[in-house]
Amino acid sequence: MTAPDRAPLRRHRRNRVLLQVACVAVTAFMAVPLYLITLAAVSSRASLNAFPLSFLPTDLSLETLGAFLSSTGVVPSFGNSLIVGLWTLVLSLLIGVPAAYGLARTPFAGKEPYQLFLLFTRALPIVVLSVPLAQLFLTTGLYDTTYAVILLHTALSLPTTILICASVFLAVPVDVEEAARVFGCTPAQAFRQVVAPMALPGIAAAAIFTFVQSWNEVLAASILTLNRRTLPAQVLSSLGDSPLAYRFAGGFALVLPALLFIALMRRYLTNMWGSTIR
Amino acid sequence: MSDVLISNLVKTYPGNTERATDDISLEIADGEFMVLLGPSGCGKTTLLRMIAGLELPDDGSISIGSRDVTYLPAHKRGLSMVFQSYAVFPHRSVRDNIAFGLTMAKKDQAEVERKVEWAAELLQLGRYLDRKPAQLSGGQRQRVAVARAIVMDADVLLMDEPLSNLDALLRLEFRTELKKIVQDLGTTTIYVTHDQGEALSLGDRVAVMRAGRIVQLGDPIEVYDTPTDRFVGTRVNTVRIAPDQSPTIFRQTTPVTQFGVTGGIVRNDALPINRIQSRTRIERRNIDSSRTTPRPITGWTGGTARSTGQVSVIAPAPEVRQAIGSRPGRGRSSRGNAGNQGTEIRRQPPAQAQPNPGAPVYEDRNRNPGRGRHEAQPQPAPRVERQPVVAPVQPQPQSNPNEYRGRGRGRGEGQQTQQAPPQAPPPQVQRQQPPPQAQPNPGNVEKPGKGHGQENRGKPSKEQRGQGKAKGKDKDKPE
Amino acid sequence: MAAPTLDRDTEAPSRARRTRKGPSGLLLIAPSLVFMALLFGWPMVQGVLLAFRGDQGFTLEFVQRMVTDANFWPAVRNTLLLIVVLIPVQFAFAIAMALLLRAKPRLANVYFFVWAIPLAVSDLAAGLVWLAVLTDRGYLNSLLVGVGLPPVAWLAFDNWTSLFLAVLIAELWRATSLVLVIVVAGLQGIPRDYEEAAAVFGASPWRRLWTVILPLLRPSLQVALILRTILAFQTFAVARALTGENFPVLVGETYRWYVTLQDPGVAAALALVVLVLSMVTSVIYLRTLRSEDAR
Repeated sequence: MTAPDRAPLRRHRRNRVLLQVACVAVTAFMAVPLYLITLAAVSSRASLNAFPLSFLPTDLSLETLGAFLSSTGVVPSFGNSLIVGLWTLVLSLLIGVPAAYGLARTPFAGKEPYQLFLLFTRALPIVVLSVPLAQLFLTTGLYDTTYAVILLHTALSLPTTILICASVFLAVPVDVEEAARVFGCTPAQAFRQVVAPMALPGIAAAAIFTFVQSWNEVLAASILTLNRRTLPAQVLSSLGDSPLAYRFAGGFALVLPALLFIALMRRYLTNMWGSTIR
Repeated sequence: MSDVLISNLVKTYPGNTERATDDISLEIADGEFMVLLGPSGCGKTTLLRMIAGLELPDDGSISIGSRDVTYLPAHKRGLSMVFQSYAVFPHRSVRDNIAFGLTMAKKDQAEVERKVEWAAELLQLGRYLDRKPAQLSGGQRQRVAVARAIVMDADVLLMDEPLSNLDALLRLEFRTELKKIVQDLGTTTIYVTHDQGEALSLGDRVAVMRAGRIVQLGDPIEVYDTPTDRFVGTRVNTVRIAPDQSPTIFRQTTPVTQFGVTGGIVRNDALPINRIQSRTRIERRNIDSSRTTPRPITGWTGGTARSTGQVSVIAPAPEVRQAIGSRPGRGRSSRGNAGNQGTEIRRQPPAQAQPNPGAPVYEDRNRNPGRGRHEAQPQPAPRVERQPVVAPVQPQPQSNPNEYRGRGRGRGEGQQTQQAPPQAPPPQVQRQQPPPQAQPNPGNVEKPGKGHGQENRGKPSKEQRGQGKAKGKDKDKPE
Repeated sequence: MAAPTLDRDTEAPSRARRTRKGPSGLLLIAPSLVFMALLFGWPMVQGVLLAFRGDQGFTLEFVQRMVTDANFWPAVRNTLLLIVVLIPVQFAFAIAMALLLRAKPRLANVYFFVWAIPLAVSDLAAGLVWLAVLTDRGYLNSLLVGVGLPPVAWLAFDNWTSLFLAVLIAELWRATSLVLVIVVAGLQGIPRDYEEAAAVFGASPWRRLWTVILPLLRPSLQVALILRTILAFQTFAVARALTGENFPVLVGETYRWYVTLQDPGVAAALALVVLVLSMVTSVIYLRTLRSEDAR
C-alpha cells in the first residue's frame, strides 16, 4: 500500500484556515465601524477635535453624549420615537395577528389575492405614500402629530407582520388546537391556551422587528412632522448645522437599539426572513 | 474498475468521544460486491462517506486502484454514488441528471447522449428522460439516481442504503434488478445497508459492523451460519424477565456464563437496541443502553439493564471473545474462511440450565470438528461469576469446558444434547430460563445454519409462556 | 366540539379544510384590509392627483419643474448607477458570506450574529457611522496619517467618484445583511445531499455553486432582489448623512422639494418617478428570472 498522499490534506487544512481568515475579515468590516462610532460617542470633545483620532478608548467621557442629549429637541424626540414605536407595535399586532391567524388557519375566498396584495404592499416605496399622506394629514389636522407617524408606520409594517405571524401560526400544528377544542375549549380559548404560547416567540420576534423598523424609519417621519419629531427625523433635520460630535453621538444613539434587537432576536432571524419568502 | 484498500481508518466526529470508525481495515477486490451491514450508528455510512471523500478520516488511509485517495476531495476521486435520499437534482431534467457526471467530466456530447440512452434503457427510464424529478415517483427517482451512477463507468460504485426509502414491494423488486445490473457491469461496488436480507442476497462478501468495527467479514453463507456478533435472538433462547426483577436481569443469560463470559450481556452496546425490540417484544426501551464501557472479563459486574420483556441472549462482546480465544472477525479479508472467526459465539443456548454437561448448546454453527478454540477460554473465572447470576443454573459450571469443546470436537458430547431437552424445562421453570435450547439442538446440530430460527422457535415460547410474561412468541426469526 | 374531529378521516388532508367557516376568516382579515386600503390606496391615488393637478385641473407644470431642475438628472443617474453597481456587488458579497457560514467554520454563530447586526441599523445611522470613518478628520484618515500616508478628502463635494464610493460602501455595509439573512434562510432549505452528490460526480466547488446551489437558490434570490432593489431606489438618509446635498438621489430630492422648497406637487411627481422605476425593475426581474425556469 502506498503511503497516504498528504498534499490534499494540507490543501484542505489551508483552506480551513483561509475560511477563518475570510470570516474574520468580514466580521472586522462589519464590526469595526460599530466600534468606532461607539468610541466616538463616548470620547471627550477634546479628543474628537484632535487629529489624528485615537483608535483606542483612551479619553472617555460622557460629554459628547451629554451635549447631544441636551441639544434642543433631542430628548423629546427620544420620547416621540418611543411612543411611536410602541404604539406601532401594539397597533400592528392588534390588526395583524388576527389577520395572520385568519390567513394561516381559515379558508376564505380570496386568500391568494390577499397574499399577493400583502406582497405587493410590502414592496411599495414609502416615499410614494409619505408625500400624499402628509398633505392628507395637513388637511385633517393630523399633521405633525405622533398619530400620523404611528398610522403610517403601522401601515408599513402590517404586511411584514402578517406574513411573519402567518408562518408562525402555520408552524403550530393544527392537531394541537383541535385537541384543545375536543376537550372543551371554545376557539378563542383554544387560541389563548394552546396556540398563543407556542406562537409567542415568533410573534415576539415580529413585534420587536416592527419596533425597530419604526425606530429606524427616517423618511416618513421627517416628512410627516415638523416639531414633534422622532429621533431620526430630529437628527436628520439638524444634520446640516450640527457639529461632528453631535452627529457621532446621534449615530450611536440610533445604533444602540439595533444591537439590542439583534442580540434578542438572533435565533429568529432566519425564520423570520425565510418565512416571508413565499 | 479498481480494488479498494482501506487501512486502519479512524474517525471521530467532533464532539463525540466514541469513534465512528475504530481502526477499520478492509480490502475489497476489483469487481467485488461488498456489503457493509450493521445497525444504525455502527459506522458503515461513515466508512462509505470516507471512501467517497465526503468526510476526512483522522487517521488511516484509503486507496483506490493503486492511488492513495485518503485526503483527496470528493470530486477528484472518480467514483459514483447512489444516495439514500437519491439526491436527484430537482432543477434539472432526468436526462440532465443522468448526464451530470459525464457533463462534469466534459465528455463529448454525442458520447454523453449515447450513454444516457443506454442507462435510461437499462433502468426503464426512456419515457421520462425529459421530465423533471418532481414529476416522478419515489421509485422512479431512485432509478434516476442509479442510472446517474452507472452511466459514469466509475472505478468504484458506492451505494448508501439506496433501497431503504422504497416501499417494501418495490424494495424487493428492485433488489433483484440492482443485483443484475451491477453484476453485468462488474464494477467494484460497496453497498451499505441495515437490512440483512439485502446484504445476504446482494453481496459477494458481507462485512458486519458494529460500534465502528467490522465484527465479521465473510461471504453471505458464512455470515448467516456463523454470526459472531449479531443479535441472535432468534437463535438463542429467550430469557424472560419479570417486571419486578431487580437490575442484573441478565443474570438469566446463562449461556454467557457458560462461556465464562461475564461482560457480554451487560454490555448493551453489544446489542443493537432496535433488534432487541424487534425480537423480543419489549414494550419500551427499558434496556439501559448507556452502559458502553466494557465490563471486565473477570468478574460479573452485573448490569443495570432493566427490561420488562423478553430478552434474548446476546453474543459476548469482543473482548470476551478474545478471552475465549476467538479472533474477532474484523477486517480480515480472507474470503473463504472468515467464517472461522467469529463463530465463537456459540451462543450457547442456555443449555447451562441443563445439568447436562456437554450439552452442546448451539453449536451447530460451528461444527467444525477440530476447532479447538475454546480451550483458550478461561472457564474458571466465569464460572465463579455464575453464582450470583444464575441461581437456576445449577449444573452448568462443570459442563462448560465440555461444552465448548464439544462444539468443535467431540461430537460425542454433542450427542448429549439429545438429552438436554428433557431436562431443560423442569429445572428452569421458575426462572426465566432460556428455554432449553437443547431442544432445538438435536435438530440443529447437524445443520449449520438454518438452525437459528428454529432453535428458539419451539422452546422459548413454551418457557415464556410458563414464565408469565411472554408476550408473544419469540421473534427470533432469523432476520 | 367533537364534531370537527369526527370528520377528520373523510376530509382531505389539508390545513385549509379544518373546520372554520369562511366568514370568520374574512372577519379576521378585514381590519387589515381596511387599514391598508386607507393608508395605501388612498395616498397612492392622492399622489397621482398631487402630481398632475394644478389650480386649473390637469397640468404638467410640476413634472416640468421637476425635470428642469438642475439636480433632477444627476439624481436619476446617481440612483440608477447606485443600483446597477451596488446590487450585484451586494448579492455576490451576501452569497459569499452565506457560503462561508455554510462551510461551518468554528464560531459560525458569532459570525452570523455580527454580520446580521447592520440589518437593524437605520440608514441614517449607517450614514453617520461611515461619516465618522470617512470624514476629513475621521478614523480612516487618522489611520492613513498614522501609517505615514497623506489624508484624503473622501467626502469632497467635487469628487463625484469618491462620493459615490462612500455611499456605496456605507450601503454595502448596512444592507448586505438583509440579503444575507434571506440567502442563509434559502440555503438552509437546500439539503446537503445535492451538493454531495454533485461533488461525488465530479463537480468542483465552483461548479457546484453554479450548477446546484444557485439554481436552487433562485426563489430566495428573486425575492431578495426585488425587495432590495426597491429599497435601493429609496436611498436617502445615507447619502444625506455622508454627503449632505452633494450627491443627489431621487428620494433626497423629494425630501428637498417637500420640506425645503415647500412644493408638494413636484415632490409627488418625484415620488411617482420612484414608483414607476421600482415597478419596472420588478417586472424585469420577474420576467428574466422566470423565463429561466421555463427552460
